[in-house]
Formats: sequence, structure tokens, C-alpha cells
Amino acid sequence: MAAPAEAEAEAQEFIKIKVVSQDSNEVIFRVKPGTSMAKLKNSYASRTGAAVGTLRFLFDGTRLKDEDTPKSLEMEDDDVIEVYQEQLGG
Amino acid sequence: MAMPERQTRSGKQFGNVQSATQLSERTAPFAPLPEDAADVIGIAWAPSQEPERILFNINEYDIRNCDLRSLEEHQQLNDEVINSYMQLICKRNDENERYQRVYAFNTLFHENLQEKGYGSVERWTKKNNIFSYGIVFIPIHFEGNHWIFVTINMLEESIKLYDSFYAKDGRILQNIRSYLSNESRNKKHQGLDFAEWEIAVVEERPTQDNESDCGVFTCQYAECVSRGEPPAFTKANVSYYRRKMTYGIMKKKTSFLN
Repeated sequence: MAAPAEAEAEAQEFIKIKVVSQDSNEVIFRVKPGTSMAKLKNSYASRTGAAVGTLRFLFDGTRLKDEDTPKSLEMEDDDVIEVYQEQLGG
Repeated sequence: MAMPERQTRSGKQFGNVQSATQLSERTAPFAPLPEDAADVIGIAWAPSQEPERILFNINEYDIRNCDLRSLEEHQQLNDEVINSYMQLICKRNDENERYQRVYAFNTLFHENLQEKGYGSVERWTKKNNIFSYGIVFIPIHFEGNHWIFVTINMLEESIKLYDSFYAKDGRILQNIRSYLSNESRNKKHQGLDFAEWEIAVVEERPTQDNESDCGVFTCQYAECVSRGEPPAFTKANVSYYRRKMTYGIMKKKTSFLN
């Protein structure tokens, strides 16, 4: 029974997270619990061609800090990160 | 940003003209900034080779050169400046017993509430009970181009909207009232009786006369509310506040003047 247990442990090492934009586009990431959100943010920005500094990433209403990880945020499979554009107003 | 559209919408030029005139005759007392302010502000506003590089953060908000430069004269403030300044006020009030504790929602809160309903913001307060604070700040990015400020005062039982341009917008107050009602049912398992509540647009407030200063007004309305004072500053003080806010964000505090 060792093999399935190992496979399960390996599968659990990755968490599936959806990054959803304001126009409802979804990008799915499989990340390790210790992966920094800086990495996810940069990866999302380069994939969508946006400057990372103009994007705002929110998980349950809280901004993602670069040093946050899925583990520190207590994220689970299929959790959603929302991404928004910079806001300017006059 | 479209100024003519605003004039059509509000039906009035620059909000409530009469109260703006009355207020402009008063000058809020304001102390000179500390000695190192000119240097610190000079550094903050100097064009950087890497305007997008994170310099530091204030709670969860990253501050970059491009954010700081939105505080320069005639520039429109961005969300990072508004959000981080609200956090500094919360911190100042936390550390000072004279003031009420403040909870600040971020600038995406109302947009979510309005477009997607209570369910979309239900989990935003999973770690905080807003009813345990004296004051709640809700800075709002209105129609994609204008900053306005709503505050809930739990002790006075009021919801007030401060807008440096328009005269009124009842829908926002309705949204916030409905949010409070849902949040009370959800967190306290009881409804909220609004019979004694004052829910109003604040008419007596300073107003802007350009297309760039609403973010400064929003932050200074918050500053006044956090101290329990009426907004008695004037548009003539905006340059000073842009410098004060820049210095405050660079030093990560607002309390250097108090």
C-alpha cells in the first residue's frame, strides 16, 4: 500500500489555485504550500503581459504580500485569488 | 477623467458652492513639517530608474516610486496611497487612547459589494469584527475615476458620505446600510435597527476645484473623522497635505504632528 500513499502525498504537495480577473478570465496555478506569492504574481503578470506593479491581488479581501505563501494564507484546493487593476482618481 | 460629465451628473459646479465658500474663509491650523521633510519628500518624488520596484510596505500595501509620485502636485492619487494612508490613521488611533479605534476597508470593497453583492465580501472580515471598532472607513473608487469617502460611526450610529465633488449619491449609502445589516446578521446573529441612525451625505465640507485632488480630500476627510473633528481644512491646504501625506507614508506614521 506504500505506492498509493506516496502518490497521494505527492499530489497533496501541490495546491490548485485559480487567479480570476475582473473580466472573469481564469488562470490556474498549481503551487507548493511554501511557494511565495511574489512568484505567483510575477508569473501571472508575465503570462498576461501586465506590469506587476499595476495589478492588485486579493485573497478574501486581503492584499497578497510578496512573502505570503499558500500555507501562511491557509489556502486550500480551488481557492480563488482575485486580480484587479490599479485605481486612479481625481 | 471627464469633468463635463460630472457637472451634468451633479447639476452643480463643484458640489455645494455655498458651504465651500464658507469653509474657504476658515483655515485649518497646520503645523510646519519636521526639518527633514524637504529631503524626504524630494527623495520620494524624484523619478526613479525603477519606478515599479517595491521600496517598502505599509501592512499589506506595497509602496513604489510610482505610488509616491501620484502625491505630487496636480497628480491623481492611486489606490496604494489611499489604502496605506488609511492604515496609518488606523495605527495612529490604535496607539492613542484619545481616539476611537478605526477599521479601514480597502478601495475594492464597495466595488465588490455593489457589483457582486454581500456574498462577495462576506469573507473579507473573517479575521475582524467590524462592530468591535468605533469607526469604519470605506474609501470608494467611484465610477472608475473619482475618490470619495464613507464612514460608519458605530458609537454615534451614523453612516456618512463625504464627496469633494458631487453633491449626493444615495445608492452608496443604501449599499453600506444593507451591508451593515447583513454583516450584523451574519456575525452577531441579530438584525440591526436603523431607527436612530443618521445616514446622510455631508454637505458642510471643503470641495475641490480641479480634476486631481479628490484623493487628498478623501484622505483628509478620514483624518478629521478619525479625530472626531469636522472637516475644516480648505482647498488652499491641498499642497501642504500632499507633502504631509508623502512624508507620513515615507516615515510610516501620521503622528509626527500630534
